[in-house]
Amino acid sequence: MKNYDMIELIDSIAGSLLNKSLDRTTVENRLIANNIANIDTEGYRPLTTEFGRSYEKIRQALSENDFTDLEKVSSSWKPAEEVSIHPTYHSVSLDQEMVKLANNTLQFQSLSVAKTKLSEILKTAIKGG
Amino acid sequence: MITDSFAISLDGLEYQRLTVDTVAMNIANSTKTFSNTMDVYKPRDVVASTNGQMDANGIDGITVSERNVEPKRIYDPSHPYANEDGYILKPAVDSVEEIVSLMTAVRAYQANIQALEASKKIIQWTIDMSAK
Repeated sequence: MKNYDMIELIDSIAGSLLNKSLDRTTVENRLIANNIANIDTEGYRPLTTEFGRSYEKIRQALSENDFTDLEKVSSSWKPAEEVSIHPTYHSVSLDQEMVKLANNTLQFQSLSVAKTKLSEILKTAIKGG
Repeated sequence: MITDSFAISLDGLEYQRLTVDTVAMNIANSTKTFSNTMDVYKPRDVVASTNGQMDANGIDGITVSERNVEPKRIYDPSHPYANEDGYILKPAVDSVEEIVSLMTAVRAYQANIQALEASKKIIQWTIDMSAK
């Protein structure tokens, strides 16, 4: 496994992963809004980003602490292009969507806090402590 | 764009409001009396349709259509609108059905507002993030 410098981990991997994750929650928010709007639409199948290929890979790389893979996958990750039909839900379930909405909003909030903290770390590094 | 989700939620709100309007119209017309089958008010339904694409652009099509049901025939020979057999005609509005769809529409309207609130929060936090 490649050895990473502290700054490399913070700046490139964490930074790009945070940005892409923020993108994903934004796309997911739009999809949940769309699912709720189409609650009575005949033949509509709920959409989600939760089963995107890159998202699965990232979750796997994170659980295995594999930073090489993480860097590669997160840089090529395009959340808006990984929208898929929910594999198990064939029609919109309102309670399911409301839970996803609450979860997604909190996820966005924590990611935005993390992003602010990350820039504080970089600021500290620039100032020399 | 995140602001697209405002338009999507607005689509949902408009659809549910149209459903409430339609329920109101069905109930308002339910007590009317008619003598001719052709004139009888037919209850209306709001139907949403999808184009089957995964583009998440709100509701693709909304149409209001008349339910194809036979009017109710009530025997009331002394009624001024009664026909020669003594029957009057009333629209086939099922008030229980209408109230149920009214309640569902109101709940779904609230759900769309929740989605709108969430999108608003996301934009607010994005602004806060860049202000720091």
